[in-house]
Amino acid sequence: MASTLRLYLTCIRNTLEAAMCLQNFPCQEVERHNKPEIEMKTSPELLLNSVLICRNEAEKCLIETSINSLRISLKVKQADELENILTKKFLRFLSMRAEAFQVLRRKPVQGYDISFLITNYHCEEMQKHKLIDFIVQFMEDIDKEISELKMSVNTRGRLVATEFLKQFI
Amino acid sequence: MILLQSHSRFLLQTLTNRVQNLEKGAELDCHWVEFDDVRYHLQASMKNLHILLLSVSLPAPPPETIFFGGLPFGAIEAIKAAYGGLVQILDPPRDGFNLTLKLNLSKLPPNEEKKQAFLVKVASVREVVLGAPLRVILKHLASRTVAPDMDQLVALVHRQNESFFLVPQVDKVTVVYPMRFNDSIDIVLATSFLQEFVEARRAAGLNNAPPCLWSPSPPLELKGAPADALSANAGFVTIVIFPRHVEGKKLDRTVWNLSTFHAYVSYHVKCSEGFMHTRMRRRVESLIQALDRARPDLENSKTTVNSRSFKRLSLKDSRSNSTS
Amino acid sequence: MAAIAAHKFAQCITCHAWSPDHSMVAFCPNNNEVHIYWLVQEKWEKMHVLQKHDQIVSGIDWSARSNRIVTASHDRNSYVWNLEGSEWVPTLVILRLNRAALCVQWSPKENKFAVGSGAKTVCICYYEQENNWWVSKLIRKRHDSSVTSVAWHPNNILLATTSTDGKCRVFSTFIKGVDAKDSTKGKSADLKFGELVVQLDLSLSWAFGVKWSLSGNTLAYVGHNSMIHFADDIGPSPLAQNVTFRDLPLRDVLFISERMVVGVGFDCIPMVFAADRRGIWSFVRFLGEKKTASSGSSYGSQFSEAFGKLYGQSKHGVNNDARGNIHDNCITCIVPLKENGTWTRRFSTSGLDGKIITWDLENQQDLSEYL
Repeated sequence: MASTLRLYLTCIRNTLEAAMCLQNFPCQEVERHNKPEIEMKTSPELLLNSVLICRNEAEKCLIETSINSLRISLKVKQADELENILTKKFLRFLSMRAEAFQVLRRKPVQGYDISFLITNYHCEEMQKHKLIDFIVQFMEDIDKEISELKMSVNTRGRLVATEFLKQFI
Repeated sequence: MILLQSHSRFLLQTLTNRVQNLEKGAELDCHWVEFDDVRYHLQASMKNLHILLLSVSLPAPPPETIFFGGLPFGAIEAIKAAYGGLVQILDPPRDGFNLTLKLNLSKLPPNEEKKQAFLVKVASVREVVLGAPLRVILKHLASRTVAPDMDQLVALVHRQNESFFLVPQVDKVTVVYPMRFNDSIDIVLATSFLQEFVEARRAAGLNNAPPCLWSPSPPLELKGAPADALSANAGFVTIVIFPRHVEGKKLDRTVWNLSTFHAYVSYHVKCSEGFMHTRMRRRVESLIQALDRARPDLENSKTTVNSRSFKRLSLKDSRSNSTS
Repeated sequence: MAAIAAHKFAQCITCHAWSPDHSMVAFCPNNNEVHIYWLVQEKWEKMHVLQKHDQIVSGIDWSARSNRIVTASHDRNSYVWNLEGSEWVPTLVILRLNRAALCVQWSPKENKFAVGSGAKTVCICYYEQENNWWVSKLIRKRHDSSVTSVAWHPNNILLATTSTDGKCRVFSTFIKGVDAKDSTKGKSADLKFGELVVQLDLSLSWAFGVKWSLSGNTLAYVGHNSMIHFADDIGPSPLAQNVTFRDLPLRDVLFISERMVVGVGFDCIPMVFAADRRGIWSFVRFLGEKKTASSGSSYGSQFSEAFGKLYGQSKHGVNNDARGNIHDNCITCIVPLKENGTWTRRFSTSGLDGKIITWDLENQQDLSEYL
């Protein structure tokens, strides 16, 4: 399983290298405005084809690019009810800190668990390859965090049950 | 502390302090609440420092449980058995409480060990009172009998407006808990924990523990139970108690553990959530740090503009790298 | 090494231009101002701050003979600045634009300048003596999206434009009273203002950075899909060439000679393209070591290696030189500095890392055959 994660992340990293070529671009629709074109979508010529990278049926990554902004949307694996609520809890935790994260989109794109919105301004303030490092690390961390949380719940559950039952012997 | 203790630590501490400073005691008028909505009131007046009034309020019993005079069946006998003549039950109890006990501190046994044991027993008044019906049934199990006039399915109060069920038989008592939680996250975590009760018993050394079952729908034992009891968002736990689990000293422990089953699971669900919260917060912090690393160093940017001079590279450098 | 000087002026630079004697540089530090710095004894001193625009200044050009600065901004305005004494005095140009101005350039004779805009139009501005102001004539037709870059042909009449609709177009900007009709210049002088001479549809993606070669024979521009396009014989049937490269897209280009072009963009290192004796263009090399691939990508497993080769991440060179003299972020602007007869020996680049770096091709032995 670990090997597919590496391939998946490498593919995403390489796609982001190309997609994160953003530039400052003022709005064509409204004067004196400057908005992320990937959100506005009013000028179709300013949008590029989206790329969908699938690790398997349950996990995928959608990268939508425009001239001045890009969106990365992730669907995280949720094999059972427990993973489901752990993922939701973790992602909700993150979106509450959206301000600190800057590149996080408050609401995920429809059909996905979490979305990033990166604009040309982020590329001006931050170094591109480090921004990509961050996105990839983020994806690894979510994976790891959910797995470890699930394991801790199971371990604790086992301990709780064992201690209780020992009382009866 | 992984298991819930049967005596109230606060009550025990208060009683112990009181007894140790009997002559120097001041007025006392104390209210507090413990898990599953058990409330206490402790009072002592200046007029008579040796007398303590302890009142207990119990969670509201659902209709299917049997309560006499505001107390579960068997409670009065259990109190008398536990405390003897050292405690007097006041009738009626204080307003808003199910039970008021009058305790004479000067009549405590002089032996320190016995005195402390008695105080611990007083602090375990909750177990004595709420556990009384369960104790009656399990005591009969220990002697392989069934109490007379016992229903086939007995409902006992577990929490506010919630009961758990017993099927008392000669050779075993089957206990069924409909488990309910408020929060959707609690439900999923609790369900995961409860399923572990089934798994854990298979581990070595636990063969003698009571068999446990979990099911999402009401088990057969609950046939005939009231409709309210049959809905449980975290499933139904069935524990089968055998005589060996209630022999001698084990009886008290078994009564306590079964009485506070939901509280025990709930407590650990909350601990789990707290732990997860801490972990997630730490993970989020490290991610924010990773993002901060993406910015160029703030120090470097300060040395630009006015202070940094024009950097001219030597011709030697340019020659050596011309084919790079 | 080709880079001979580097200085970080701000956190980010949008565009820059040099004074006629190259002692001063004007740039926009990614805000609504233009800063002018003067090199005094190897130290840069801030001399002027031009504050008139209220949004980012997207284009600056400094005319070599008349010493005038023209600025264009996202605020839809353009100003012409004249140095009076020690102050730069602005004159507002009524562009009649209702969207952002994206680029600006003085014509070779410096009597006109062109502004590309987000209104999908191009403004050709000239000075009207009687009214003492700059007038704007608009080329409204043809562009289907924002005009990203403009470039003047040496004849002062033809103007090439690139747009986010992917096309490069050449128009006539002949203005009666400003331009002289000269029959020796060929058929291009007969065309009316705003006439489309040729439309090049070579790119599948957005087009940027158009430039003419010094003689005006060749046109070069870049496409966002990592391509650079060359066209000769601008007219009804131009000869076009497309060069694809594996690296990240370019943003701007500069003709060094008739057969050599330097492109700059998202790879942060200038790329050299050259035409061989048959006139076929191709990528030659980078001007310096390409930055190492990002830190996390060296996973070491054979799978990632294979993938890496597929996606062109095999450049693992380590730059041992001081990092100060290369760009750390996208290069957005390339400006010629010194012409040595028929070729441009020196040029400067500026980018999102806030640096302006000066390059000199004098000692690049392998490139001398293209000059």
